[in-house]
Amino acid sequence: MLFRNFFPRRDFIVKLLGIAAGMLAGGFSRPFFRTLEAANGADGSTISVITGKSLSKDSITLMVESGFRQIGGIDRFIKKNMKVVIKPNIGWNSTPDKAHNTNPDLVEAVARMCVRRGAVVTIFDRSVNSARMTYRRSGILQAAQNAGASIEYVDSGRYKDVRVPGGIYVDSLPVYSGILEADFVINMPIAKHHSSSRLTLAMKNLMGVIGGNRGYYHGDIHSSIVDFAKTVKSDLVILDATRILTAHGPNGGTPADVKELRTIVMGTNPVTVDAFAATLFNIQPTSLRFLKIAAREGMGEINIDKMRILRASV
Amino acid sequence: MKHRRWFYIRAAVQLCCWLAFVALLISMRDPIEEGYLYGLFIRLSLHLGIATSITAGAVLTAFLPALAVLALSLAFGRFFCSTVCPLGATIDASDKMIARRKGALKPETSRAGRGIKYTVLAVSLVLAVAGIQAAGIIDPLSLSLRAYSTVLYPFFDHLTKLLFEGLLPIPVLGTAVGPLYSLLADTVLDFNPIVFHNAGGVMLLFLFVLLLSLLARRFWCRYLCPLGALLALAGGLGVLRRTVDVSKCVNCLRCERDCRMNAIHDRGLATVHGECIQCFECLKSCEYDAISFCVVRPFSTGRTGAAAAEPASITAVPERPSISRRALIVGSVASLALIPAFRLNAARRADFGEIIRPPGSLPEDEFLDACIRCGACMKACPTNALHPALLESGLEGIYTPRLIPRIGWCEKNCVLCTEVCPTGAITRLRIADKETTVIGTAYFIKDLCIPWAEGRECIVCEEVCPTVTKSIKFREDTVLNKKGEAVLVKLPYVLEDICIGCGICENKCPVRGSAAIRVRTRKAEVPAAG
Repeated sequence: MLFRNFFPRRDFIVKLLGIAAGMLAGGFSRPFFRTLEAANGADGSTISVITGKSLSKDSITLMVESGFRQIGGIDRFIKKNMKVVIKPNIGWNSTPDKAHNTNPDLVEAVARMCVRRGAVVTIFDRSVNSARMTYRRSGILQAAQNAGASIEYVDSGRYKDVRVPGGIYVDSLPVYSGILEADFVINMPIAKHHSSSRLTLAMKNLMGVIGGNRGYYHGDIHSSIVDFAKTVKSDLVILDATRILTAHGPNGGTPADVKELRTIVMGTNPVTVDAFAATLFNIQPTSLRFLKIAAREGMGEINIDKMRILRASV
Repeated sequence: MKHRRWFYIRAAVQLCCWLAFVALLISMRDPIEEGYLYGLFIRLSLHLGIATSITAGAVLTAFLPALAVLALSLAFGRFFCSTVCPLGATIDASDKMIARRKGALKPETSRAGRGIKYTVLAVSLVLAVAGIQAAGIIDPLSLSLRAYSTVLYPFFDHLTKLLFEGLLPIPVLGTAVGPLYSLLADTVLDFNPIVFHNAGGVMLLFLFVLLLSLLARRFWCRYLCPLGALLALAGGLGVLRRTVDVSKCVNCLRCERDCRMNAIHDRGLATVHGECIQCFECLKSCEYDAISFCVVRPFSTGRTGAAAAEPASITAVPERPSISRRALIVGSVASLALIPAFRLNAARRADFGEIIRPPGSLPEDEFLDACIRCGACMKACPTNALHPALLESGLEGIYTPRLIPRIGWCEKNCVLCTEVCPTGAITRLRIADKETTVIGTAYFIKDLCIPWAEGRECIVCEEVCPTVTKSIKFREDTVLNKKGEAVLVKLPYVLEDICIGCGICENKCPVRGSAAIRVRTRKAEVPAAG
């Protein structure tokens, strides 16, 4: 009995020490959400929603260019020789028409703009299926080659434990070094149905740079998603809604489940982008638990009426 | 020694063939567009071709290249063994590391032993007639492909990675060897860390074959190899033959001593043609240039020079293939006794419930007939899902591929194993057909399953299920968690009609140790006919 009483106290002291260490570390490191309000005068609640004429490469390129113009121009984000990481969804060994992975043409257009700006661009994701086959069949291997970007296959030995500031479900997460070493992270999810979290969007996309036991995060997927977004910075979010998967996600679906929206959503705050993206599925942002938690934690605006939405058709 | 260059040319050809074998082996991985070439070495085995055509009940055109080897053997003798055969090359290479006791084998034993390989061949073919694919277990080509795929290559791969993991963090050296590592990683190393269940079982037979060289050089090739037996029969008729110029020969016996096949007798003058593998070692040994290889008519004595014109001075006659009729009959009858050893298979009683075959595999009985146990599918599999069985499906299923989902799943949109299978035991599949190819069925063990047993959310299995409308479904229901509280969780279950048994659910199941969802064979679903 003595021991049972003693342990919680020791736990408490350890936690206290952890919090103190975290506060110290937090004070010295840069903020996790490096929003770009200072640069473009718009805060994280500004998003740009671009709809294109078709799913052709040219049309998608126009959409990306227009999106960048609306949120202040690519020059504000990408500097010469910057190490830029693009993190699309390359989870499943499927062709682009299935809407399981981020549209390769979109990845190509974004990567090319960054490369032209003089950045060094790397693209990766932790694939669920066989990585080499997945990179190829998703079209993203070719996209990277076309754009002059390099791809990386995730190396299981390169995760570093990072403390989750104000972690809800976990105190620390193993985060892929490639993302920690980047100067600028472009989070490029595809908007899809998901049976655990209902939707998988920008915040959930960050799971692809988190190591560890997938099943553990599924134990409370919504809190986990919030913890991912607290731990991994997304300097820019470009959400792919060119095709969305409305059922049997994240990797199944009949042709009827795939909806062509020819839309991309850009913003600097993944919470806000995700809240808007939910409406593409006719889902209220407040009915998604991970968004509600994120809003409660003050991580971003999820009220559509309070967002500044810049729309364009190109 | 004038002709010794032929020895080195032959050795160079052997090295090239070995390199080609290894290159084909390593490139037997994603991406593969056309798989025919990858089985090239397998297709050269006449022994596999004949035996498998018998067991499969059809002439297998896959083995047509073996006929080319046969034709060439009629011209050049048993050249295959000293140049093309990867097992021969491995035995030659490992021979340098083996400390052989001199005279371990008496000359009489050595000579008489040659006949054993014909008995081995006979046993292999008799078993084939009885419908048992034993040829693949002992054929040198499937044996070497299997050993290289599941033992030597993973070993080399792991060792190289380990070496560089140690080198790369060292300041200057690490930077220097970095590019080399990248090059190796892109070309010869495996993309994933690979390991094979039962690799030890494959290694055992392979090591045994190599260690036989403790008794005599190329022991396997001389006495046991069934393909060697076939080629000895054909090569004995070959027209390119070792000939000795008796006017130059001083009977120093160097060639006889150096011959790795013990094919030279009679004070260096006589050659057992079926045993000579045209390695040209004797050309290298002979200091008097008395030996040459030239085209001679069959049944000549193979002697040239002035003295050859005086047959009276030479008494030896060329040896005939050392086939003993008695050994053949005894062997054939004895092999009948082997039939029950193969056929008595407890896994059959259990309907092979645990054995999941690769996608596109023939029905189990036909599969066992056609599979030559070469391990190509195991090498090609991108998820390391296919492993050699040992005795899980009985002796008749030894070294056949078996999918172990907990180690690797059957990858969606992947047909690599069907591409590389040289005999069609795994029939070719189009990617479009793969989605609906059933290899097994998943089932839950609810006492282990997190939502069922512990009342916590999970359904990773549902997430990763690749079937278009998901063969794992869930319903929300209340269960008691470990504290006895009623909680509402998503409870998964399987739709057996849609499930294809790919096993990704079993692989990704977050339960530690054995998974809470497992795949059993499709055969267990359907009662066996008859």
